[in-house]
Amino acid sequence: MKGARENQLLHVLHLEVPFETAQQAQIASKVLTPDPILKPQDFHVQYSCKHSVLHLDFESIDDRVLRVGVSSVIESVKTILETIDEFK
Amino acid sequence: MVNLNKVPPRHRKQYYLALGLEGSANKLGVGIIKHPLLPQHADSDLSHHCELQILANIRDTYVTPPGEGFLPRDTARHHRNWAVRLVKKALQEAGIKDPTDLDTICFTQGPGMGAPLHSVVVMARTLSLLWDVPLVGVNHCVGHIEMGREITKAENPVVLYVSGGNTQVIAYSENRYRIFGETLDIAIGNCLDRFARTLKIPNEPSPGYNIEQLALKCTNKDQLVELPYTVKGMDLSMSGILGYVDSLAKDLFNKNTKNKLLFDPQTGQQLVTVADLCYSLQENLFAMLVEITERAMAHVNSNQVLIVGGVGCNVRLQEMMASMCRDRSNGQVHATDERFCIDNGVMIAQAGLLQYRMGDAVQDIADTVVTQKFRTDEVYVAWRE
Amino acid sequence: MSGQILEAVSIYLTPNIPIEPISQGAEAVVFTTSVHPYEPKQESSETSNKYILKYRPPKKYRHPSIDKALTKHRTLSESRILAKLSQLPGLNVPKLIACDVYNGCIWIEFLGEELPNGNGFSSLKNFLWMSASDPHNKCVETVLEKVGRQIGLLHWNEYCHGDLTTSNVVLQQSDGVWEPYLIDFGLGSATTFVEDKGVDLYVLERAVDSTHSRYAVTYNEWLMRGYKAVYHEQSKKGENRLREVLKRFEEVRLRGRKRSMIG
Repeated sequence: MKGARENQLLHVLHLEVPFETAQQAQIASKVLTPDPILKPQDFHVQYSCKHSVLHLDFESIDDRVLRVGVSSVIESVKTILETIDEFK
Repeated sequence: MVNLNKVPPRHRKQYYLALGLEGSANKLGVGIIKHPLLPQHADSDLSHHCELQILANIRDTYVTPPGEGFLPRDTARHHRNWAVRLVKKALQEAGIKDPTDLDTICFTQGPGMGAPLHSVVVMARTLSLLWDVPLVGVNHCVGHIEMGREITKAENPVVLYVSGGNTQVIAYSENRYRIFGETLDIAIGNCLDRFARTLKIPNEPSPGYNIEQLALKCTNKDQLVELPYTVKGMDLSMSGILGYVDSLAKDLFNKNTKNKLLFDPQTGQQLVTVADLCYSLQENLFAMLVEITERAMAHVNSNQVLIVGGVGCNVRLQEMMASMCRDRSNGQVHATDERFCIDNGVMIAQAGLLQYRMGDAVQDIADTVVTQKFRTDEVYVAWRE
Repeated sequence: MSGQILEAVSIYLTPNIPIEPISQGAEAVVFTTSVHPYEPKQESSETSNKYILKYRPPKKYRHPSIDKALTKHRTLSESRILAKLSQLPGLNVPKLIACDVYNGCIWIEFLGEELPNGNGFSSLKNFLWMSASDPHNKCVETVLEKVGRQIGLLHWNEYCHGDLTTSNVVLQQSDGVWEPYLIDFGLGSATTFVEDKGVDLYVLERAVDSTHSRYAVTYNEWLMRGYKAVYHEQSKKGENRLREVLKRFEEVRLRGRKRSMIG
């Protein structure tokens, strides 16, 4: 759903998180995807996997919203990593 | 009777195993339970029984300093810090070497604080995908009710659900837990917690417990401090009471001798102590709770009460409820101790496993989004007649 | 009902007044009796007299000073309200015969009857349960509209009930037509606050939702239709006041739903 307002999300960040296997990266992507973004008009995130690497693409209306949004996703990624490390 | 064996145990086991994860408020709970697979014969049908066995019940509480409440962000951080460790410990305690033996992973879907709920569901989803074990989203309140029913064997009680975020009088009818009465503003636990904050008493082990202990120290039990009594049918309101008792406590601390309720107008001598306030507050609030419970019992013709939720372990509340029941024919009161009353993982596992055995597991991971508001009567209770 | 309560009542009443317990509500025990508290016995009368004796026993679970205050306050306010309401045209409430505030006792007119086919006493609750197999018949609709009108009249006259449930409405036939009576005014009050009316309506709506879940939407609609009709008949002033009450009703409802439910 690319709206007209999306053009205004000029503050972007790209992150890559390497996992041990492609399956693990897939799991991370599936875990992160369901949760809705509180203000989709201000912040947007896309998850994708290339082999064993999880790609995170953030777009935001300003750098403050970007920082808050990114750090919240990173907290979740940390939980996923810790869970995988412990129980794989 | 409902046959609970709609879905057979995985891996041809003769029992069901469920992991329960709770983190809707400041307690992080992990529980593991087992239900034996009970047969359905024409002559002895046991398929509606659970015969719950608790293999692990671990909890870690996020405790804040005196005078402070728990904020969503800090509580979520606490849960993230401990979640994996608690699951590991629970599996060890339960003696489960292969977690793929689990039939289901149950998590609290709501109601509760958004950030803490979310921090737990992230781990639940990861575990489910890693082990290929189906998820079940559980309503926190239904978890309390099912836990209480299984532990006390109360079959069809009127339920008084009293905790930090909820105050409800519930009775079952036609596959739903219907809410007959509830608070019109703040919850009882919230009221007690906030008063504890005003008094700056410790939040360890819990603010409500410390108020209960202080109330026991009241030496002036004949002279109750009069507080508003605000029952509205089967509903009640508590914010006015809190505001009033808070103002009394502040006057007491500030030595406001103009307050004639607290200080003798002639001599300026203090007439009321903090313990007296705690005692009066408890007496007043609990009388209201017992009254609305009795109203619901009379309305639905029931003689059993089950008290669940964190405030339910208050001994004085249990005593008052028992006293009310003695005056009703065949009246019975059921309550549990702090292991099961206070938020825990076992209750989520118990309600979740019942749901799972009736064939109601998550099909699409997109349906695992947690929600702050999730009313008790939204859940379809397939496991009861 | 525990024997202790029965014993306490018979000691209070002396053995000259025979009583028959009929129900134990949350705060009161209700008896029927053939004895009028002060009128001489009418030997000639063909029909046997029947009165309701409502007794609020001391509640041991609560602190004695809370108990005393509540019993006194509720018995007194119920008596006062019944006395006032029975003078208002169109309002159906039981007539007050006598009251003893300190002992928590009131005598009132007996209302209601047994429903056919063992469906119990003719409270609105039992009537609706009895009609559950055919919930949408005209008779149910008419009864609920009339109940709504009674509540509308009550509010229009600046009174609130405080505990509106389907147990607290009794039906009585008059020339083969069911007429609703509001009972149990222990939590009632004379009030000009729109908030009290909003809460009254919310409490009723919730009681219908939980007790008659399957048909609650329709039932509440019929109740509110009768309720609004009372205000509509009062022209402009009525419309304005109705708007205020309904607005507050909606606010109370939202407060209930919006409330965060943490823990």
